[in-house]
Amino acid sequence: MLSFVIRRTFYAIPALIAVSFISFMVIALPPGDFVDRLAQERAALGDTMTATEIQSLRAAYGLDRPVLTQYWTWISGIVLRGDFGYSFSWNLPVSEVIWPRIGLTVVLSVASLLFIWVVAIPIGIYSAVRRYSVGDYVFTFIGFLGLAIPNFLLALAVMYVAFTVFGQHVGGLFSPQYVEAPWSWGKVMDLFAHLWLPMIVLGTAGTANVIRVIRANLIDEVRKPYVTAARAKGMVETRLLLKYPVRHALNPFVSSQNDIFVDIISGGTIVAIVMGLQTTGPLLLDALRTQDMNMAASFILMLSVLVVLGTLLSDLVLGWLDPRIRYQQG
Amino acid sequence: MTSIDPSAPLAPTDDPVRGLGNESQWQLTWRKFVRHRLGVAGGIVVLLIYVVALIPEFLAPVTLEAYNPRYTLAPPQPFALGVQVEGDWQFRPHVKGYEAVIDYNSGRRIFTISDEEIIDIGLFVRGEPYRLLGLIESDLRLFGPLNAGDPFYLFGADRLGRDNFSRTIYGTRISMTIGLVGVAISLVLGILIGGISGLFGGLVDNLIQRNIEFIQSVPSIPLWIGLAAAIPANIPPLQVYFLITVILSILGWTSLARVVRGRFLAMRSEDFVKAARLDGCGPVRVIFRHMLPSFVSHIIAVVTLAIPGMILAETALSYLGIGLRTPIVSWGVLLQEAQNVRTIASAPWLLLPGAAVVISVLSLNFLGDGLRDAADPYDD
Amino acid sequence: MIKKPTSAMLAGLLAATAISGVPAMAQETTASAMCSVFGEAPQLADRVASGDLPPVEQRLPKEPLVIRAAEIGTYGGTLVDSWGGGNLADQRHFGYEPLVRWSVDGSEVVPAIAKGWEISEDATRYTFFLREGMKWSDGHPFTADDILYWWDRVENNPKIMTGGPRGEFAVDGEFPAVTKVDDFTVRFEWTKPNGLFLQHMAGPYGQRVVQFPAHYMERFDIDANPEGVAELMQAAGTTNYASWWQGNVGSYNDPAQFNDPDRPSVHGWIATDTILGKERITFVRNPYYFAVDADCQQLPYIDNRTWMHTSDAEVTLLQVIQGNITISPRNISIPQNRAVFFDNQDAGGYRLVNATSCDYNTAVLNFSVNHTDPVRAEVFQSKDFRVGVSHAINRQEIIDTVYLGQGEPFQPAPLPNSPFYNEAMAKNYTEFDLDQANQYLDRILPRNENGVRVGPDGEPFRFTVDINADFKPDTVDAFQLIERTWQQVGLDVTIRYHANELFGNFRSAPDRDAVVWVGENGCGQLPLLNLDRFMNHYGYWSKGNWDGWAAWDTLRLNPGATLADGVEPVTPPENIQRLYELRSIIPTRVGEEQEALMKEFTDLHAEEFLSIGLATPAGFYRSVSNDLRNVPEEFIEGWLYPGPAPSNFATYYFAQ
Repeated sequence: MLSFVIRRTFYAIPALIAVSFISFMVIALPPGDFVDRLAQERAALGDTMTATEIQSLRAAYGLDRPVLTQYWTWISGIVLRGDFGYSFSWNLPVSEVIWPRIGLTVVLSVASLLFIWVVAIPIGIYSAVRRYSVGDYVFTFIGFLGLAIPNFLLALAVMYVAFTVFGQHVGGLFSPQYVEAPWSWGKVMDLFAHLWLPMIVLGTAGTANVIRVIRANLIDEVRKPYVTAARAKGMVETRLLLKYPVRHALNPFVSSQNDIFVDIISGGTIVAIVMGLQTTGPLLLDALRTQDMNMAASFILMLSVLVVLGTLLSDLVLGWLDPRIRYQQG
Repeated sequence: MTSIDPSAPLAPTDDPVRGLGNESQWQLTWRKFVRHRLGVAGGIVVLLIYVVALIPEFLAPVTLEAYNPRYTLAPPQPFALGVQVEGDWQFRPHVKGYEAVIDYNSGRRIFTISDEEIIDIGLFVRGEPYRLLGLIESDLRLFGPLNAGDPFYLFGADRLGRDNFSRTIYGTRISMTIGLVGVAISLVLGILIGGISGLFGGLVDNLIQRNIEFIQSVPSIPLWIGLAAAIPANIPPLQVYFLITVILSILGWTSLARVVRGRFLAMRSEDFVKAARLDGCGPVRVIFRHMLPSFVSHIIAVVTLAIPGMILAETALSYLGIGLRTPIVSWGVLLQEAQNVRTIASAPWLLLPGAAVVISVLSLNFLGDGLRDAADPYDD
Repeated sequence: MIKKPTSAMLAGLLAATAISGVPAMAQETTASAMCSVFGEAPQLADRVASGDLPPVEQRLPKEPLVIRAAEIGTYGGTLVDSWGGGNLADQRHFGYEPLVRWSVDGSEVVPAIAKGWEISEDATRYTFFLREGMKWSDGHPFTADDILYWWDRVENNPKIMTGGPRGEFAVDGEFPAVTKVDDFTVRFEWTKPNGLFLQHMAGPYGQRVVQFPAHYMERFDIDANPEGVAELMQAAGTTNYASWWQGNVGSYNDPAQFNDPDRPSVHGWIATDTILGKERITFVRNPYYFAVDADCQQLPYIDNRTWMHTSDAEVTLLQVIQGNITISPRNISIPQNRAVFFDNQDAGGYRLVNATSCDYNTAVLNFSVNHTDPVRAEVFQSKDFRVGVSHAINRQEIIDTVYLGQGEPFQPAPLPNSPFYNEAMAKNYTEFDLDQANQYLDRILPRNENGVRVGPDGEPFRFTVDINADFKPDTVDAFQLIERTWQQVGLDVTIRYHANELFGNFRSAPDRDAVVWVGENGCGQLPLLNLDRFMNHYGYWSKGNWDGWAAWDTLRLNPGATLADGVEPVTPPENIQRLYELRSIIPTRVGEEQEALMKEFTDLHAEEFLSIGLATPAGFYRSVSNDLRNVPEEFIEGWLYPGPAPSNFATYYFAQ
């Protein structure tokens, strides 16, 4: 077990280096650079930047040097000093921008994950066991409705309804007075008062997927001979289901959940933009769009670390759910 | 799903005494599928949607180019089959005309449905000429105002006075077809590579898994932006999108591959797989012939979710401004244009393309559901 | 009823003085003449009482600026703005406290930090008189040394401004000598007359002049304080002084300039904390602000200004209609959103105030006269082509459809409210006439036997137009209509609507055919400051490839100049040569001579017809909280007139 973890970590290092390199190159791939994006932004305001201003900015940010040099400057800062570099667009060290947002992002993601699981797993099991019942159809239909409505549309519609019908304050995760306030009981309550909207919007899309996969797998499982055998032995139906079939049915589900950590950081980007949430998704998208190299590349590197971790965890959970998988093979 | 089965016996099949035991697996599947009501209904709707995608020129009352400055953001006109003439109901399909005044203070045109003006609607009316399927020249439309050019807005009008109904119909073509290739490529790659990974395990598995992690970590949004910028400027935007879809699906097979691998790892120790390998079957044969059928249900579930996933991805990318753009008309583009407070507040009918998305996603899912159950080898 | 832009507001902009619109000498009626006792905000009075602050008389200059607003206000309240991202410094929202400023109605330049000025007869020497006793926000005196510090140690410091000072300070390529006459008098001097300097000082590029308190900035000066700066740079983990300076000190437009709460400023409100990366920031009143109202009460009236960070326009809109934002930002206060604003007035507790745009056109289209393909270059240089294209645009229909019937068909030209309005330049070829369009087009793009328009090389001629779809969505709608009428005259055109981040690459590609951008700064005197845009020169890019002509002009002015890679100078036709000459001559002339040259400039433009426009912009407005007072009856929006900031936020107040 431990050696499995160590070995996997060891494998991960070259992969991370490769990811950091490739992603840096991909971010630099589109023609133009951050200064071009900045000039574009200024032009939209009415400002004109002169050619010399642009040149000097480019030199100041080191964007006039070859991409390889830029990469080296950035990665060596991380490896040698743990320094992710400066974000061009925020004029702040990357870590100062990212970390404050990660807390809220995790809260929101965990909340919507819990929402999905709490709603979807029971419905999935119910739908599999009571196949073709009215309840199966109704739940399936509702689940898919959530999947079928584009997230961004739902987000805006829910916000507008919350505002016009319920008079709820919308846009962001806090009421104005709490935004930059220190944490307090009131602020926590305020967060919860705002959390449910994005939680539901984010959750609806995931629910159908989970219902579907669990239902499909469970239907496969319950027809296996061992279930019939257990039933023949007179095992109580609930216990019978939960003991093995449900665990087995969760198997493919778990192996597809290794993205959870990526979702936590980058997921719900669109919803976060539409609803004005102070999470990491919009930050990453902005960094990519403006080609804020240090910021975007550091972000992606962190995501990659999380992917590796997520995969490792999902493999471990997989082994727990299904002892037939032995770690030696992983 | 096909009813033509290459492995079916060449002998006439109308033998009345032919029993179930003689039917091929696909015939059995078909029998079971038709028993799945929701699946069949979904299938019919999907079929209809693809018919719409094939001949929007015939079905839409007006062309994509038609616009009318007098009817910007006009609300939908209620459709009625008949009129009351001196107490008697007469068959006369029609919609009512509008009266519009500009209210500068509130910044909009205010429409009132006029009771006097009746716009007659007929079947097979003549309109702008077009080429059906790019081949048949015609100017016939399934239905429309008898007096071409009269306002006829079943789904209301957009901000340029274009018919939202016709645009939704035209949007079907792009939205329903463009993701298919992506899903198909993802599917083949995912099963093949995921299968190999799960089947062999050990070093091969390790290599593949590390590569999958690697590919999953490559951010897709900069890739989109990068590729969209790198694709030559002179090819049509539709082809641009198509190219990017293909490239993304080549990267997008990874999640499917991981699911397949998870199943394979579990299944590898099953007796029938061991038997097949001992029998000297090659890995490709073992995957596709022996192992794949045993979890085809799961794959169908994933694929049925993948096609609507592509439809939704198209809308999301349009929203971000890196997918399709005007002048291409897809549901995503239509929704992107409607994605603002002013539409929700004062022209909610422009969200109707969203209903088209919901219907197609739902029916694809029900179809997939039916197929999954029908293909299930354990079911009876 | 939306009021049409009142031309009276901006009409009399050309005062009959030596220099267009600016008095050669100005001296305001000083407050010292009328005030013996000054009022101040209650919380400042408390701080004075506790000995924390000197009394208000000592904080104000001897002769404070008197701003006369419609009403005498009361102290208190918080004005909430939205903030789209990095650029809080956009002075249209906040930072407009220049040496001299535009009057509220944009008609003249008026004293601000400078209590007056004197311009020499030949306009080579500008002398500004500062206010004795004026203080930075930390209480340190504001003197001529601060302005000299900016000029010597910032604008002309190659370690900071690696490309040298901004062009707005130069006339005909020459930068001024800046000298201190005495502690409160500063002089700018050129060898040539500078006919535009005062207007430039009132615009966005004049703000930086009064941004650098010498006593505080020296610690960030690598020559004055090498060790300290080295330490600071090490702490920030950077080795490049220019980039460190930009990110940590900053001048106009760098968000960093407000990030240091200790940095003294002259603004009405000052930071109390760092601002970068914050979701919501609040500035508090500057106890040393240099202006008073007509009752001798120190301004500003409003206690605090808050910015909330909203990156998405729709979220901002929701925030406004919920009543969370005091004045709606420009990007959402567009005609298309008027209905939403209108319907939620009661819920949001705001009213709508009309805004006149200084833009001279909603969209300006330029073709690549210097296209890398000689056939295209020939067609695009042909006036027949451009006239044909222009006649094939149904402007009235676009106005009716896209702009709800507001605005009038217009070419890129000074607006009717400008003294430089030229009817021919504004109105030529604006009528929708397909026959005429065909006639003109047939001369340069005859139809072949299949009815297809062919270029001079006999090949079918097609072209593309690049549009930034994220910048102004109305342009997308307009060009969808234009595409159809162009097709009716046989033009084979592809219109490409780009995402914001991709547009940047297309707008400067050498083989672009045509590019669309908004036309800015067309009201009042602004066209005079805006000759660059009329010559399709946007600093480092142009709509359509005009690089060859621009290179010719660069070499004409400076034969030794190095050109950008791959750019070959192209000699323009005679009239256009003259236009380029006029662009560099006009700023060096004053009075009637300048006016005559402007007339020649617009006449030549009318004749050459280089750019194609659609319509005058109309139908803009802002939402303003019901209780906010001293707001002008109509805002003016613009860039070189950085509306609405010249309307004096310091005099706004909240009714109790």
